[in-house]
Amino acid sequence: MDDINYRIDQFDTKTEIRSYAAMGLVAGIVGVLLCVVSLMANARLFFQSWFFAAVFWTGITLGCLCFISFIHVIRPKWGLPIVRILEAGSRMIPYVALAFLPVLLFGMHDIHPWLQSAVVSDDMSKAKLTYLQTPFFTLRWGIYFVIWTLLAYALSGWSYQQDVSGDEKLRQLRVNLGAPAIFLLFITITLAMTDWVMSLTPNWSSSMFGFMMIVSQVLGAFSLVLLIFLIFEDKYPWNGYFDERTAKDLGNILLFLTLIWAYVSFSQYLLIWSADLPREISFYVVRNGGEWRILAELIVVFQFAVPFLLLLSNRTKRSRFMLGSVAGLLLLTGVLNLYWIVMPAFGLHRFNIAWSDLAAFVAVGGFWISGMMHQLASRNLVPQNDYRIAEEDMEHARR
Amino acid sequence: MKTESYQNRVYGIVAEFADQEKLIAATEKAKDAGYTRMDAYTPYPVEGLDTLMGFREPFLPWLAFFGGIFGAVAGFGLQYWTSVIDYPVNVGGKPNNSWQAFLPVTVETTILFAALAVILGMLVFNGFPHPWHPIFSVSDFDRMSTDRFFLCVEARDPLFDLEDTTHLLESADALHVSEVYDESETIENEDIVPARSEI
Amino acid sequence: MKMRMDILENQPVETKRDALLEGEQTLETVTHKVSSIVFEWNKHPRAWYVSLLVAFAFLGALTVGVAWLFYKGVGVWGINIPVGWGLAIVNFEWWMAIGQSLLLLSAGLLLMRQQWRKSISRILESTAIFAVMCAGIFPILHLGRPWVFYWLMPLGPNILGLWPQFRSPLVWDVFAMSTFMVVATLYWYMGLIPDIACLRDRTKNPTVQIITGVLALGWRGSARHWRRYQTAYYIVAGLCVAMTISAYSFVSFDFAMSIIPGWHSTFLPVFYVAGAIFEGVAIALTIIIPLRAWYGLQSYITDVHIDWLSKYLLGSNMVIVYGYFAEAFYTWYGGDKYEKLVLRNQMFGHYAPLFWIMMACNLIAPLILWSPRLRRNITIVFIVSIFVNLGMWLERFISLITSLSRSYIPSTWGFYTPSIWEIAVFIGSIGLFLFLMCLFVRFIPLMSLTELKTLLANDEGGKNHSR
Repeated sequence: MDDINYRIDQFDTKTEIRSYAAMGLVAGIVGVLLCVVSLMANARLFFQSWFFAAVFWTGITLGCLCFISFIHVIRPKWGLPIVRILEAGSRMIPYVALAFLPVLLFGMHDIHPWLQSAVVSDDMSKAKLTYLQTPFFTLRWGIYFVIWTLLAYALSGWSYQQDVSGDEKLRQLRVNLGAPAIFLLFITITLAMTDWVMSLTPNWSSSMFGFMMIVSQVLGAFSLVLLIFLIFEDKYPWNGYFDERTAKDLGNILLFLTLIWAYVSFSQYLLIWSADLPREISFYVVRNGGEWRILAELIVVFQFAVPFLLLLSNRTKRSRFMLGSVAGLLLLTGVLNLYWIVMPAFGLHRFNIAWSDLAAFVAVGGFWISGMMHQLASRNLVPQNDYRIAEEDMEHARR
Repeated sequence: MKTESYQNRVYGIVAEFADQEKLIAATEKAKDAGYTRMDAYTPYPVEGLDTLMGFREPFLPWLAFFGGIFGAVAGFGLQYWTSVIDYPVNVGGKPNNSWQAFLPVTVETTILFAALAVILGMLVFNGFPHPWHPIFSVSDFDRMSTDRFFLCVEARDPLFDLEDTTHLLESADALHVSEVYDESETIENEDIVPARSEI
Repeated sequence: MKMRMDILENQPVETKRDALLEGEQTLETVTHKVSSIVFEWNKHPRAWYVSLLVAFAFLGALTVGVAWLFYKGVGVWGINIPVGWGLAIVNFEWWMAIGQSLLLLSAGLLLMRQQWRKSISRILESTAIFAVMCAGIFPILHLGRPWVFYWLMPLGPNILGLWPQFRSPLVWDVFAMSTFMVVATLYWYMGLIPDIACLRDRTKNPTVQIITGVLALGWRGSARHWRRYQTAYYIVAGLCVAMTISAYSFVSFDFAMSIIPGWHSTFLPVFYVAGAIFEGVAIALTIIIPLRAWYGLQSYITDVHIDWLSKYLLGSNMVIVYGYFAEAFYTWYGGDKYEKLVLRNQMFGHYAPLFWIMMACNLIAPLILWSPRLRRNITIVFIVSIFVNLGMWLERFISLITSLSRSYIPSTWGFYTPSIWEIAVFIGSIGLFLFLMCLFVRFIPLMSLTELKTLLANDEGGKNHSR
């Protein structure tokens, strides 16, 4: 295929992607304006809302990064149409680092209870308090983001370069970096989620938590990316990729991730429930009690039962609309799930979803979508010079 | 046209092929000629052959689904009944209906009954065990499981005609074309699924 | 388009599908190779006879060990208070891991459409079933009153009117194991039906004809039958994945549901399942490497297969290492002094030498395989797989014994040393496994003919196909 023609053919799709980017930008600006109002009204509430939004969108970005590393290692065919969307998502790492800054600079005391001497109980060890103090906390925050940025830009950069040069060595480089990258990501995300989220309940700890958060992030990121792919599915160059086989594969991955999420979440719940130790069960006493219970039940039904039953059927996986709806549902419940994990730590009163929550979510998310769409539109929408595409062409030719 | 009584004894006409491409080509040819009652016998599942012949199997997944539902209800019901109704025991202060702790066994019974339903369903729908079938009398059929591919146009096909059908199959690059006689009283047809073209 | 084709030519050798079968293979050669191992029983290599002898010797140890145990009771074992769970439970975990993970691999790779699974799936599934049979010995012997083992099943209230305690993970294990045996055996048999039909069609021996004729159920390779067969096979494979992951998680719940320090950890289920895969892949390598040498299967189970298995070993190893990290980090972060004590005891206590051997086996030895050059050396892969088997056995031993021997109150501290009778039963279980493997190689097609033939048929548009 002629390279110039190819670029011209992608033009229409890219225009549409850029219009989404513009919409995201508008949403982001509106969100920020609302956030300013909210900051004036109640700074504490605002910082909590903003913190939640930053953690969620960081999670989506990290999910993209984990998933793209995985794809580089195993090089599956179904990965082709979503590679570029995932890469665009993973390149938002520096942006989400920026999104953390307001909290890090001004809001730490409104978020983290171990900075409020009144809350710190006696049985919290000195070593742990020192570990969580702001200077070391900030240093770690910086280290995580440096590692993630390097990984995201190295992996996506080599992928973009291969588009131009067609150098197969770049593919091997990505494979070689991919496996250690997954390991490094697992360790750093676990530490980061401990710092940011687990420490909100200072006396609570669970060794499953880091892994559970990684699984939720990958599930959320994959749902979002799948949704974006399905929106543009009929546009060049994505048209034709959503054949029966790819559809089934993508649907099965969504099903698999949903099941793993349920397995991991339920295991943690069951083990803590059965042991019933005061230092552990507090987490679920708050979150399964009172009004939060409604949210917990909604999550069980809509993040597990409904998508699970729908995804069992091949008809769901084959239909662009149905698969997209399930992905959208899982993305939404992913937000609720994180809300259910984070917000009760700020107190029971936080159950009513404050308008500042929405404002902050839209602000951070709007800019995220805008930036991500912009990244997506500035490169080829599907990798070129990849032997898997050539193989695919041969299969089509044979049929 | 042969006489009625003769036709009843013929099960069909079988062609033997050396590879799957020739089998598929012959099947397409027979399908284009309007034949609907066909079956192929192959050493391994030949991709696309089932759709070509219009076989579908919509029931097995549902069988697994309902087997699973049955297993889930039975498994949870058993635990609920024994722990809440028949003989409640206070263990470690846990509630009688400790549904959290009942889920693991429920998962196992779900899997067990779903698997049993689908495997037994497959065997029953296929009519197994089925030790004798007219097709076994075809010479060379012992190579079916090794490297030969057979296509049988069955006598109950409305278009079936000894000469025409034989001719058609012979022209489809077959190694061998022969008639199969049904030695049993009746032609077994419990596993007939109407071809798609009929619907 | 032209440019892209050039890339296809340049793709690395290991991704070419035909490397999964070497030499000029046709449907006939494949069938002949597999069926001749079954038919030409007098041509088995000497290694088969030696294995059988070893198996009988070990089975002798099992008989003596179990007889003495039944005569005297579990007191002949080294178990005591506080260490009430000894070698029997360690061995149960170890064998269970092999069984669950190998079926998980076989079924999971089928769903992921991994072509390289095709020539080793039969070995994986058979090994899985045999390993779970070996695992099943131990909990029953450990009951103390093995003749009432059926009280664990809800067959009706026992003599006191009681039902099984469904809140206990030990009862979940009973359900997991019986479900596994039923489903795995049926799945395995289903895979065998077309292969048995093939043996039926090829044998000249009338006795074998009758036996295979009955077992093949009248299989005639009908396209209709294949359609239903494949649908059912894929569904059962999916169920097997769920079954094996849940079953081995239940094994981890035996420990994690308690409040014993070192056992009660929420990450344990994932850690155990990853550990099981790690161990299962290692045992698969330990079995496949000699087997393919003795029976000349190098053209069917090629170095590509060994390479893939090694990669899976590395992948699961990363989760193990993450698990060690998470355990250590959250023990420190959680700040519970008893948890910290257990960790310290593992590293520097009575059983510390075993801990460091385990670390060498589980952390250091697999590092060798990161080098593609060393990974291609079959001897090195074999040695690493032996180390991993040992390492995972020690892993189960350490986590079980250390926690029990040093619990909350110092007055309840104790030690555990396995007695000769426990070791005899462990060796005996290896003998049983070896014996079953010998029978398997002798009587059952080593590789799935159906799968090998689909591999041939879909290979590069049938270039390598039939004649």
